[in-house]
Amino acid sequence: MFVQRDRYAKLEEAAGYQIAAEIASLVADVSSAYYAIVQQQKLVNMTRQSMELSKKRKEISDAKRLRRGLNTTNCWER
Amino acid sequence: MKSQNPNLEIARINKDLSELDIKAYRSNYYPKVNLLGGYQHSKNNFPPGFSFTQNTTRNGLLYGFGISWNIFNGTYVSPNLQSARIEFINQDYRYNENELLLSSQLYESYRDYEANISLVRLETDNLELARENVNIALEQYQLGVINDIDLRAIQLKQIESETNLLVSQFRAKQSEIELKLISGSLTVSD
Repeated sequence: MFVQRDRYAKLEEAAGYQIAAEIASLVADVSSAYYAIVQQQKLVNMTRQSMELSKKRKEISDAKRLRRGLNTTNCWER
Repeated sequence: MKSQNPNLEIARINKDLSELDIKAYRSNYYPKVNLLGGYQHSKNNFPPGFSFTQNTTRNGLLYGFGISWNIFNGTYVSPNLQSARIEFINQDYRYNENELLLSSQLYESYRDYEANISLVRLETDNLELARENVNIALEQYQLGVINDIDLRAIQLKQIESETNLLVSQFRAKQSEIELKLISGSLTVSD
């Protein structure tokens, strides 16, 4: 009997779902970007740790060279 | 879980709308009842000599109803009704298609998510081993058992493991987001 009223109610409901879909899509994009940033930050930390390890390796190597009586500065600057 | 997906819900609403179209076209076969109502108030002032009555005032309530029934209207209702019925069937197919598509996407996303979670566990174990290897290698290097190149190779293995773990963690998160998006459970609080 009230077809138009029902139609407008359905259209309103559909609009609500469309907004929900847009919001969900936006939240997904933001979340994805956030995790990408977190990943990059972790990669930076990992590279720093790797550099620390390389420094440690260099120190050990220098110590070894010193024990052998070699000049370490010339060796690394070459 | 499927009922939370907005796209599927929109497909359901489209189906409902096409059903309402059928109702609207079918209503042309039924008699129409018109109701009317109103209130009238009028006051006229005429100058002397212009009319027999100088002042008239009317107040009154109007109401009524009418019934009409269209017996023949040029055969345009029937094709429209048939079109609406076909549209309803189409929308029903579309809804079922969306439902099947959503099911397959959900299954695929869940499988990806599980695979990525397993990969994260595997890469975590791998990284622990790589770190242990580096510690052992450093001690061996200090003792002179291994040379610079070997130590560097082991160190590179650790870097590779850490990178792999980060990539797998990122992929796991991506698949989690996708799974939540498809299931319609992704909210702002996530």
